[in-house]
Amino acid sequence: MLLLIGLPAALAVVLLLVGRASLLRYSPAVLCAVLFAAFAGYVPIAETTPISETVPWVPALGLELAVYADGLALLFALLVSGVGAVIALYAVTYFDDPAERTRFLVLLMAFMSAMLGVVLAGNVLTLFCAWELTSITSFFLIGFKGKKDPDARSSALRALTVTGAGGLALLGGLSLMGAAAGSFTLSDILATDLQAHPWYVAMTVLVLLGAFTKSAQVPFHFWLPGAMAAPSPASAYLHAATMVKAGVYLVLRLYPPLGNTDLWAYALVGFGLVTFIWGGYVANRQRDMKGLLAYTTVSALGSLMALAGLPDSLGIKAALIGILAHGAYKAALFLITGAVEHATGTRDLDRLGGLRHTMPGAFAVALVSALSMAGVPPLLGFMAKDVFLEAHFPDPLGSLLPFLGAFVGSALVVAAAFTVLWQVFLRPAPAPDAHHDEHHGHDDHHHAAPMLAFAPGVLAVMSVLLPLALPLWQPLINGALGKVSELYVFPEHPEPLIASLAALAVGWGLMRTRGVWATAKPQATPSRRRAKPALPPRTLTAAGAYDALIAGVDRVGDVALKLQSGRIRYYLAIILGTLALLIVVLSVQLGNIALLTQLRFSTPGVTDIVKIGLLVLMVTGTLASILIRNHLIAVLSLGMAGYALGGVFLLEPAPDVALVQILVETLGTVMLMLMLGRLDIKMRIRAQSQLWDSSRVGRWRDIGISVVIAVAVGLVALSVVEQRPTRAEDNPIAVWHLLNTYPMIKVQDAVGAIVTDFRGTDTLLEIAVFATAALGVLFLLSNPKNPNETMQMPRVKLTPHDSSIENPLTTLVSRLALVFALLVAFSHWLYGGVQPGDGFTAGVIAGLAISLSYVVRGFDRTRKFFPWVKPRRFVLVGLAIALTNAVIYGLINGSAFLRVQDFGDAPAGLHFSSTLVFELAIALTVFGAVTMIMDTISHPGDESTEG
Amino acid sequence: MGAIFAVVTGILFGLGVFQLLRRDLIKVAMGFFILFTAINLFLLAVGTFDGRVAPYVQPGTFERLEDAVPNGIPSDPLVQALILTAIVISFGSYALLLGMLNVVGKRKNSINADDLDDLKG
Repeated sequence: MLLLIGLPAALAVVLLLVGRASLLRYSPAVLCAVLFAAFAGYVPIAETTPISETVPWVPALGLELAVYADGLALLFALLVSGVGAVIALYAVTYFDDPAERTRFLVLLMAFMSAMLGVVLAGNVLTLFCAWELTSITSFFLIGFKGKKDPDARSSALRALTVTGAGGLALLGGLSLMGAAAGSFTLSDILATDLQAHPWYVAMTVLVLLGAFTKSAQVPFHFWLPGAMAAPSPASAYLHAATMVKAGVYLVLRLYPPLGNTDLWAYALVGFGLVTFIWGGYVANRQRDMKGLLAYTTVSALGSLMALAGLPDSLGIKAALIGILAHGAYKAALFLITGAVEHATGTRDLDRLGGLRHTMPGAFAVALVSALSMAGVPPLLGFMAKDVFLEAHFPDPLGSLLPFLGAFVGSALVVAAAFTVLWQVFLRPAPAPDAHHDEHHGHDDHHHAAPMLAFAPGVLAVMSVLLPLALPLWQPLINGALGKVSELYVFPEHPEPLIASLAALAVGWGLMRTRGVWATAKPQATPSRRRAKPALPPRTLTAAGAYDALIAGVDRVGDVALKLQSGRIRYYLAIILGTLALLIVVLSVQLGNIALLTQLRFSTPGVTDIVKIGLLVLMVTGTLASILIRNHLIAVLSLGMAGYALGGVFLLEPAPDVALVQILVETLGTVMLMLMLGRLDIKMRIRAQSQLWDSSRVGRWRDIGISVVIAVAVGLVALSVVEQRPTRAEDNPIAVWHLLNTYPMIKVQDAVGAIVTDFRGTDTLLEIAVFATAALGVLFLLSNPKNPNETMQMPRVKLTPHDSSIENPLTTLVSRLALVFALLVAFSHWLYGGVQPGDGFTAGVIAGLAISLSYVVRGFDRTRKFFPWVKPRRFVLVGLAIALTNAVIYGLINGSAFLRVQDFGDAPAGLHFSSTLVFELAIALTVFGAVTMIMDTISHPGDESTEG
Repeated sequence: MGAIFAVVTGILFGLGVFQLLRRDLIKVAMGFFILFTAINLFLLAVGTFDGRVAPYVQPGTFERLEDAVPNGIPSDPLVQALILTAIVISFGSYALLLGMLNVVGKRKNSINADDLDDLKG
């Protein structure tokens, strides 16, 4: 059965892919018919025992794809697939444009899967998912003509907002029910009585909110008339026969665990009957045929809700028959509306008339359907109205009010049904409206297509046949009720019959006097496109609240848009400012301010004084880099700050770090200077001169933010530093690393041991990131038309730019520096275990020597001098060695990833291990990456053409 | 000493943020570099025990720290390893940043942040 639910969605996908293949246009109708037959086949089984299937989906969340098909579910499934077949057949003719037709059929099939999912769901969470899917497909169908019609768009949004909000409430209610019942499986919940549960009121109110919004009960009904912007087949299917009944299905479904209490009865009967009467009254004031039908749908939904509310399951049977009857006659009438509009180009009741001559087929269908709607014996609608009145008779809630309400509402519906018949078909055609003809002419009119009358005709036949073939669908009702219940066309008691006939008579009278009590609101532009149903002013309460809400959201959005200056600096200022405030608030809350009073100041030694001096140098250099306009000098003073930090590291003492810091600082400064050389000098001078052009406010704002951040970060740093463990025994992890460095790694440098082994994976990733950054620079700066160009052999032509500072002395220096650097790099690599320096520094030193050559000789001649410098190859080989070294021992002797392998001692104080291989790999990768960056940024490129 | 480190970290951070808010994109890039520096300094400051000698150990297996590093209290090797990684990564991102700056300069013919108004709605 899961498969059956998924079939329409699958067909939707096929239709989407195959597009307009005309052979497939009847496939949805065929599929619906097949589904109808399949569901009908299940009825005899489900009459006694519900069918259930379960496929786990997210077991941890209680989500499962489950089917629970009892009589009630199958009744809806049959309605959905049966009416669906008619609609799909009708739509093939209704849409002239094949693209529109395909789009409609795709949406229709998607909706059908969702709707079947709602009624057949065996888990309340999957029920909710399907429920939301119906809202979404309904949104697309209402907005079907949205490209041309802004009203359709706003109606679609309104429907989605209202039903979506109700869906959220429903999710809350279902969650509460699931939590209370201890399971989200429907059969478990149905077996639990929740009426006495402490959360009963909350869950009932939430579930009813969901049901009321979906089934358009007053005061949430206002979205349904707007939903008539959808094409007529969609209105007939979603907004008359199936989707809006999902709310009714829900309350019928949840009757066992939630129903039969005072709250349930008063809420459902109260809201239901008010909706019933109000819908019937407003329907009679409509001039739009579709609007009239929409309000009678609201009215019918009200009557069904009221029936579901009656105590002791009194109204269930009447509700079931009512659902069938309403589905048959209302869908047929909507389809006829579509046919009428198709043929005449209007839905205005005042302009239509006399169509019984020009559209006899449509008239026959409309006649049967409208009579069924009015409840004329012996049609299905009569049966439904009888049981409806009977259920309210004499006083199920201890009062005559419900019965009176049911009677008044019935009379109003009768009047509306007769109005349709009279205005559209029976009365003579009104005199042609000159104004109307001017605009539309006759070219807009179609000949009545027979199929547009045939498809709803099937439904009309149902209205006639079903009362004659009671035994045929008796099992369905039995299965839905869970007990054997007699079906009859004429009731046992005479009173409901009398009331029913009286309602007919009163309704007839109301129709004749319609001009007196239900004057239609004049419509501004009653053309085909603008024929949307007019909302009477008094129903605007809920709709008005909705409009105000939407307008409010828009207004808030306008304010938010004003904050979007488009300037990145302001966004950054806002983000950083907020961050700073948060940190300050947190610091104050955590009491870090108090720390300032209890700082531990020891007497500074000589080292400390030097350190303080270096720190002052750092701050000064940094400050200078801010204040100085000239880029080059600013870069150099920033470099000074970096070297000062290197000195601080050296005094810590942290020789390895100091070495790397000084090397990287050098590299960074060289890189920045080369990069500056690539930028257009005029552009840079302009930027330099504009440095302090900001307004006074702007400057103080930036200073303010910076000061707050400085204070906040300083406070956090202070609290961390002051609270850190200062004695060795308080920090076992540092001690562990120191004690295990030699026994495990066989090196003496604890930092190196951590880098290459204890945290070796970090280092592996680190060099990968470094190489990636270099690649990023390469791709950013190389010629976009030919990315390989910078990596090719040098061009022969020399530009003056390239050889500006080359002379014999600089060449000699750079050559000596290279030899020296390679030697140092080699020793760093070999003796990294016992001395400061490691593979990384080796790679950077060698790379710096090559960089020097780039500065001195320029790009082309460096390439010529060092043909062996192929950055990408170095990076590739380095990474390959690193990875192989990390994995290979695992393959040889099963040791862990990157675990160090000892190869024993060697002469000259050396010790061989896999660490050495790893260091080599690091050195190669880093060398490759550094030269790649330098090579890229010193490439002259085609800046002359680009700049 | 740690307190002074913390205060300097805060000052450097403030200076870096101020640089980030400049219009001149080269100054912004420098701002990042200042932030990287400040963070490295902070990492150094949170290292355990104020060491007096470099974290180099004697060959052999020892039970006590005093035997492994006989010359005095060593500085914390763990934070140093972290700083090493941080320096390398920050250099990589700095290089990438400068590369982007270069591309922006070429495309917009300006390195003024206010001229990059593609975000303006």
